[in-house]
Amino acid sequence: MVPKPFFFVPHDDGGPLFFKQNMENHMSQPWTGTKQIDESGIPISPNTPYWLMHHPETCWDFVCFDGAWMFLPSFRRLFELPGCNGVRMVPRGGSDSQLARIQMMDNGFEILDMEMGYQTRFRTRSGGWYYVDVWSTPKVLGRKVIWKFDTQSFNRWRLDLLKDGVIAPPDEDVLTLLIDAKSKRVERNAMKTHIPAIKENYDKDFQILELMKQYQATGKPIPVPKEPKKRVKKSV
Amino acid sequence: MAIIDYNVLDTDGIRMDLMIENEVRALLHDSASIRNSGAILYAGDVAGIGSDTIALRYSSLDGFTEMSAVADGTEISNTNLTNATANIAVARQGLRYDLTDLASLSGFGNDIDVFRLAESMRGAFEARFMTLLCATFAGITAQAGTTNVSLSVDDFMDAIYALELANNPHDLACVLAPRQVADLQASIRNETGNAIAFNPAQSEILKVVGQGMIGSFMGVDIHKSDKCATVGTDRIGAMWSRGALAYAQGTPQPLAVGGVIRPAGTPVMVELQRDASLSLTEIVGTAYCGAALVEDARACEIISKA
Repeated sequence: MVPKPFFFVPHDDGGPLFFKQNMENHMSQPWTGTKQIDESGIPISPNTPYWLMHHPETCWDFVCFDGAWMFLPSFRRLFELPGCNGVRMVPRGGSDSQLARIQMMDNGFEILDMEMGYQTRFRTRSGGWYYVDVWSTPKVLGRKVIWKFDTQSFNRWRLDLLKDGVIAPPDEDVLTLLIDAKSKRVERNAMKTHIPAIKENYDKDFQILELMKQYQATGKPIPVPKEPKKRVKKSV
Repeated sequence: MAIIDYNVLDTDGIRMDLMIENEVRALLHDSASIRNSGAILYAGDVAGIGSDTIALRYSSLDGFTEMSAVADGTEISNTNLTNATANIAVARQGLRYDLTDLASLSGFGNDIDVFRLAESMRGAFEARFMTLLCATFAGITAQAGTTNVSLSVDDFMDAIYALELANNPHDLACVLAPRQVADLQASIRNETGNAIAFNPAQSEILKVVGQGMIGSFMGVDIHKSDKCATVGTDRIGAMWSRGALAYAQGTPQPLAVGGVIRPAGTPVMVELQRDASLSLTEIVGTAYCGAALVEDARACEIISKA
């Protein structure tokens, strides 16, 4: 929740997620003038916009969505930050990431255009903006910002990218690599299942590994196995 | 009987409500920088090279391309080189303070003044450098860890495996966010009856750690930095072998005028500028630097819950 003294409404020069404080300062004194308006925002350092990038070899998550287990694309980021990863500075403000993006594409990344609308921004208290995925919502607790992430909507967007052909489905050989990595983790913990916390993780990883193998074999999302209905003994 | 107590003296203005300390202390912040740790390459200075960008050049030399068997009496066919470049663009970074004469002259001997603010620019630059460096991690292809899940020894091992599979040498370093370090410590505590549990490094890494270099675990030098990028619910750290990341800088030519301070060991240039009509001094710190991921195969991103 945003602390009570701050009153946010949609910013008049931006979209619905841009905020500014429009409440006049009721603590104003004769020497502060009567027209003083405090601009406010979330208590976090500003950052820069970024490009989401997908690599067909390594950027995959195995997630449960819409009642089925499936591989959905994950992303890396190229920050539009002059001096970082080859992003150049433009005189009198701004940045130029063209060369940096080409370099990332040479590394095998597919770059998703910012115009796809995966990013939004919030005004920060120290000035500037904080850029974040549109599925994230800030919750201000004192001087701390806690981010709530809408996983369902994010997964739906990722699935749409696959359905629309923006991102190609994972290659069969890539699945083998991902399954190998998961197998290594399962095998490593197999000897420590006498520790309850590790056994819990092991069971979860083992179950996911089996589902990944089924996905590879069928090439389709694996429906979540339904638990058998409990038999209720009818009273006579 | 009249008693001269503190209240009386305070009310009469003989005592003060409070007295400020002689020293001005820095607020707690992460001041560590790995710029001079040897974990990252220094690609050079762009001063006088004709561009704001340095391209590091790579080619398939030495053992990258191996010889092949050739039948006796047959001609050896020619082979092309595999080439690559990686760019480091240098950008301007800056910070400015305006201090009025009255604010300065009313201070103690050891107070916030022009020279203390000029000295402070060095730390401001190193903090900015770490932000730039840590932002490069988000562009690494390989990844260990899971989004919105606490970092564990398994994730750390996954990163090591990824680098080993890519033929990296043993000179490994890693930068983790404070939350990631704490989660890794918690996970190491759970290691029992195995090679990790009996490793002397385990007890070292479990001690309370400060800023910067916090120790070595499984042969990897671990640095802690609050500058690791936060992306929604996650923090992004990285593990790499020397040569994966590099930085470059730009050093302006010295001018034959006064009022320029250059803190030792940094590319920072601090200039003092007077505004007589406002009776204030502008303290302007400028630095030119850039950092980049220059060899992707040498690095692995480590992502975990923020």
